[in-house]
Amino acid sequence: LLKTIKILLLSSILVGTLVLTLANSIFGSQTRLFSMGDLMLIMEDEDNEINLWDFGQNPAWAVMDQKVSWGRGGTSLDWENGSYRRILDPVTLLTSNSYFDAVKTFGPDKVFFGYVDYYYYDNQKIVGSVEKYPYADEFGLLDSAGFVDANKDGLIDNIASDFTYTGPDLFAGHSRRISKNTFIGGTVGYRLEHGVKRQYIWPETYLRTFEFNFGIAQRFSRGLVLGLSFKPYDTQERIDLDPGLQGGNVVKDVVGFQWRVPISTMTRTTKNKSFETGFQGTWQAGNSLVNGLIFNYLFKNLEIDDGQSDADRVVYWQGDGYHFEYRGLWRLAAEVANVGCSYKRNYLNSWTKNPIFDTRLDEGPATEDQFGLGLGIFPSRSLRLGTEVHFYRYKEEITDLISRNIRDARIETLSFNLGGEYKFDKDFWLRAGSIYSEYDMEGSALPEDRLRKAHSFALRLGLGYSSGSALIDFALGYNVTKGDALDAQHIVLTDASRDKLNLFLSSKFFISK
Amino acid sequence: MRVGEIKYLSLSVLLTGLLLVNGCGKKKPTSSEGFGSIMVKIGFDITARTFIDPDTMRIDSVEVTWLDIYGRRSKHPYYTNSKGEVVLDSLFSSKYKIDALRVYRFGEGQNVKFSGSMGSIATVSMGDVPVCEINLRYVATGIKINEIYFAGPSTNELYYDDQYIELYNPEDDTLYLDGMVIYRVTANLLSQEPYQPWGQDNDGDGDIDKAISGGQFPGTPLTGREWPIAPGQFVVCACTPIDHRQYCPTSVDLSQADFEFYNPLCTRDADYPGIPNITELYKGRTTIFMLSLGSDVYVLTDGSDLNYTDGIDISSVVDGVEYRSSVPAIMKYLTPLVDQGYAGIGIQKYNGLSIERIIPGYDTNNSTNDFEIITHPTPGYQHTPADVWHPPVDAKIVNLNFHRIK
Repeated sequence: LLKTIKILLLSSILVGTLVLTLANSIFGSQTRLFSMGDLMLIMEDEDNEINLWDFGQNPAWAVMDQKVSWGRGGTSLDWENGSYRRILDPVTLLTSNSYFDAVKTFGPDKVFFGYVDYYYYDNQKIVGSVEKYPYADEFGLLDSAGFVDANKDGLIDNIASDFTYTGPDLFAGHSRRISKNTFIGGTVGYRLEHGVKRQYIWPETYLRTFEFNFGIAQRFSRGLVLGLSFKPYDTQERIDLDPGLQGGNVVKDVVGFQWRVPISTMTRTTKNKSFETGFQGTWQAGNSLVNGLIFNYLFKNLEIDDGQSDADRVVYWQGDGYHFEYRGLWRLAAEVANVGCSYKRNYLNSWTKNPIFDTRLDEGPATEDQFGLGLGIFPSRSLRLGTEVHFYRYKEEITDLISRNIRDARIETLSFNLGGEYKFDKDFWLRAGSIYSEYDMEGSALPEDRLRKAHSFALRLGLGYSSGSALIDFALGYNVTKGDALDAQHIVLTDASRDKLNLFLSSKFFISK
Repeated sequence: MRVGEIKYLSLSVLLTGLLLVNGCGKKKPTSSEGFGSIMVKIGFDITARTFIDPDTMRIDSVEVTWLDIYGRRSKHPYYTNSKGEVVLDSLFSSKYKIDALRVYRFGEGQNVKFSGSMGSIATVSMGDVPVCEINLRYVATGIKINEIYFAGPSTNELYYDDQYIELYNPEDDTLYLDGMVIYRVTANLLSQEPYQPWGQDNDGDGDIDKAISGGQFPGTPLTGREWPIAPGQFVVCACTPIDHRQYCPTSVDLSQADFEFYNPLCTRDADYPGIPNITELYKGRTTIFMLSLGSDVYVLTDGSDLNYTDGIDISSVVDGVEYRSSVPAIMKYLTPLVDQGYAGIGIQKYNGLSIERIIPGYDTNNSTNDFEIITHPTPGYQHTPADVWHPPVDAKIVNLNFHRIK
């Protein structure tokens, strides 16, 4: 069996499509820690360590993180449905993916890794949105009422129907030691999402993403490692619309700077070029205290081009800022207890250019802060319990230079996580967890959407099998969110809820020890 | 690896990053949006200067608004100062259409709108301030009875077959004549005491009490779209659409009339080919449609009220005109809800004069002010100031041509 797997793995590398795995890919850690209530701070996991690769995303350290070859296959299924959703979200979302990831070591100084993933998204009963991620346009460049004019004359995408996406996600990387204490590495990722809505106005989208990551790491002592990395990425989304003979209008809205584009057919191209560069460090005081630090400079820009007419110029947005993150883990009293904490901050100061004139339409900062604190108790080698509390705050204050208004928004989330795992048999672990979260949001920018205060409760269950060279993890999750949402006219608050169901299964086989 | 190699690699990573900072991004615009301005200066159109008392036509408090090429509108109006100037500020870079509006009130119910606009005024935030000069002109809405030629040509032959009514579309949009009705109300009194005028709403039921006849345009009232009248178009509705000069040299050529009044029950009313009919509405009426040579009342309705037996619904009236050869001693025949004055004071039969609005479509619901007497009929076009009739100095009539708005 092992021989067969090795041959298969080697074949994958050679053809270049079944690429190798990412050590900190979501797949592995997702299944185990997910079933324990996302105890990411205090539950140590092979895919969630405080090192330069798992934590710092520096590929140079992958060779030190992955010491054995292995392969893993898995699948996931997510379903969610309910009224507590944003306007452009589907009523029902069904997601599934199947993946294979692997690591191949070539001695102690070289490693190849990667994954191949194929996914299927079915956005059921979606209205008005023809973009893959209408809210990932974090800059508010597009009309919040939808890409197409849903209320006025002309083109109307107001027919609720399914928008399905399929496509591959490929990732590959290599890391090697170039001297005793110096390491280099690089990764490349490619993802294609092809979406079709088989209903008037017949939108079809292609979202393509390229990601690169280059890094170098230097170990100065056994406890101190520093690294530098550079991560450019490039995404491009093409949206084709074909309203046919009826024609119509597409609304373009740049921070309230709105105009319409009459179309018979249209192709919109959205380009996002960004990079992140900076340093990472980890240091360890004995075996009891481990710390990780990241400080990266962020740069993002975005162009939207409909290529229709003279009055329809390219929309341009640009922002820069930084990402700072600290995470610490304190192992108390020899595997009896853990204390973990984290702080993360993203800051981005942005501006939008007038599509026609060389003037600024808006400018201002957006900040994300996230605090986490956790305590893990390990009464025996068979029982691990833990709890964490997380606080997240998003804050934005964008000055609209046209209206002279401040578009502000504040979103806060407070989460309590509880979970654990118990080894009830020689080879089996039973896992369980829960998360209670409260959401609060306010600000002038929020009325563009309809969600208000909410709380959610998640229940997780999992089963793990480990025996020799095989690890199998299964996780099941159910989440219910209840909150207030404005009605369709954005006037009356109504009760709303949304249910989610998650299912994960992964099987990992070690090829060599 | 040596320390020098590490430094080299580190520097390479950082330099690549810095290059991308400059290569990927654009230079941040130095100017903020929303600080554009346009200076607006208000004046009057030459036609307004001709007909309106300059002392009354002040140019302060003119309401100014803007619309940009993206469909954005001003959130509040701006108002001119005593010099007729105002600066539109806090604009964002764009091209603008500037609209100006002033409503002049001359007594109860007499509102006259003057407006003007100028398009494609470009301004750039924090740039130069362009100047936009707008001349106001009179504004009317709905189809108007623009001219009534009723007196007959200047001749001794008592010729009057060349009468006509001219309509006009003063709006910027195409309007439609489908199913509309021209009623002849006549300057008569009801036959019973207290002998009230036909054109009044004596019983308070919302109707003009009585009309003697009515001619209906072809098509379906209100919804029909077969008989358009373009913006600024004159429509001549002739009693007899021929070149009348062949019978009376001082008459007028109506062979190119747009419509003819026609009564199929009248044996002596010819139906001229190629000219659409305004057909007699009154059942059993066998006489030809004609205009009184002295005093009469005509109303144009939208055709929504075709039941003439109970009067004419005033809400269906689009325009109405009362004309008289002399100021009435007793009372006015047409309700002031439609017309508060009289046109044609001073016209004598067979003198070749006509009455026409001072500006095409000009309507304050007071024909005394709105119309003037002109020296000859002008079918299909507007008279010029030189065409205005001036009575003899020793004429014992009240001349209202110069009795304008004060």
